[in-house]
Amino acid sequence: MSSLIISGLSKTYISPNTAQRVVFDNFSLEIKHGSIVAVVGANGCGKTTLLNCIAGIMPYEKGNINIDDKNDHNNIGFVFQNYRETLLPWLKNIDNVACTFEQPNFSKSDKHNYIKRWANDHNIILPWEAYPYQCSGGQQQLLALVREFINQPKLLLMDEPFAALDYEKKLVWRQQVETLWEKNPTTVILVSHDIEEAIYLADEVIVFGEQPTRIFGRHKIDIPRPRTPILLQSEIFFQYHRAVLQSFFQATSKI
Amino acid sequence: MRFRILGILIIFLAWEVLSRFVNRLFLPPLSEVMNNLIMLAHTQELYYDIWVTFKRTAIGLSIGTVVGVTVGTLLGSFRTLYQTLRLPMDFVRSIPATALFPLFIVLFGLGDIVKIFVAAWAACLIVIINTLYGFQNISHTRMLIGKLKKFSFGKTVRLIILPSALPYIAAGIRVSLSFALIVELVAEMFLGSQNGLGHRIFAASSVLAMEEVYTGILLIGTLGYVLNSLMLLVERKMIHWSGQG
Repeated sequence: MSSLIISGLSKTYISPNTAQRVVFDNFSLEIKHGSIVAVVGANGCGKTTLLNCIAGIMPYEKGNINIDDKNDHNNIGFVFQNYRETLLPWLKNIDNVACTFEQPNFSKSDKHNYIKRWANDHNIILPWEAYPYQCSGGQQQLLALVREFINQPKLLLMDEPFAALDYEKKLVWRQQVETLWEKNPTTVILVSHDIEEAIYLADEVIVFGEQPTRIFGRHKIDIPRPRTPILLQSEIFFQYHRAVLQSFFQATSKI
Repeated sequence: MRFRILGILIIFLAWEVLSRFVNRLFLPPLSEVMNNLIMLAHTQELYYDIWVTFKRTAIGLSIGTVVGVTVGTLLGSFRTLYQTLRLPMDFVRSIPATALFPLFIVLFGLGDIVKIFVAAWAACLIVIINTLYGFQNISHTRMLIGKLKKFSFGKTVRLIILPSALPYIAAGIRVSLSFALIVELVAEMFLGSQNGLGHRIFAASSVLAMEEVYTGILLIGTLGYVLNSLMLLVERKMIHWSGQG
């Protein structure tokens, strides 16, 4: 089984106005293929920086980030917190998915048909001929998820994708993500500042802290899938929550 | 709609009443202005004047837009170019177009060319600034998407950069339309014109034909309003997403 291996990563922010900030200094992390890994930690502990480095949209000074033993950053999915802004309002919903859908031999209508069929198979109903701004927030978020999952990315990065939602909606969306992921298995790295969400979705929760970033705890979450919100009331969930929280407090007390 | 018509009726009524109490040199009754308009509507010259003013403004605006978008794109794309040209550009922009008229006369004479040039000049400066801002304000997240999905340069321009800048450019064109019309009319009044709506009101006022002055003003207002509405119509089709959530 292949995996994501980060070794010896060093990253320093240098800006003319503020003191330089060492985010990563010889940082290493290994993530097993096919699992959902949640990264939690206080603000400024390098969670988003890590995602950006993995995605290949941010340079770093030293280290290696290998996916399946290759330093290849193609076909990495990314769901941003401000998903609304990642949709292109001048394109219809279907074209928003089609424009990042990689199938070199497909014509435009092939792509459209494929997307509609794919959505059908996943019981996803979206107004394909409408524009994103004509859709509800939930539809826009779903669109952003479909856009990533349909490419079957070898790695899917999620940067606080639920941060802007109210609690009730979060519950729905966690399930939606889990369902999509079970049908389209891939490695997911979910950055979150919500411990409950991290435990609920992940196979493993990693707690980040300090500067430069250090790992304060890795907690395997051994709860069978599919998970449902009722889980949040269970004793086992509380136990995991307590354990993760303990690492979290450790991490934050050092800042 | 009903209230809009009511608003116009009230203003017309007030005009008619007020004109009975003031010197008719300042404000001739609306009824006489309307008579004058109907009379002029039977002559060829009126249509010719409207056409000439429209044509000069439209050509000037088009040239100004093409030049403005080109220069604005370059300035918005190359930071060093912008930093180098910022000061001289802001200086030139601070000079009212009308202050340059005497210079333009020397350069271009008194023909049609100078009258098209002034409209192009005024439009160009505004479109440059708006285009520039359009390119400088492209959403960082959207550019990231392009980078993440390995868009080619052409695809990035077509799918992200151009549509992002388009609403700014459109706003620039719409603002410059009013400015182009202003300088066009001034040019027609003072740059030795023998036709155009600007020339018409100026000539009428010099012989104190006040009904005709007011007719001209109403026509110019209508022309500006119609042009602006047309522009809005095109905008709504082309940049339907602008201003939506």
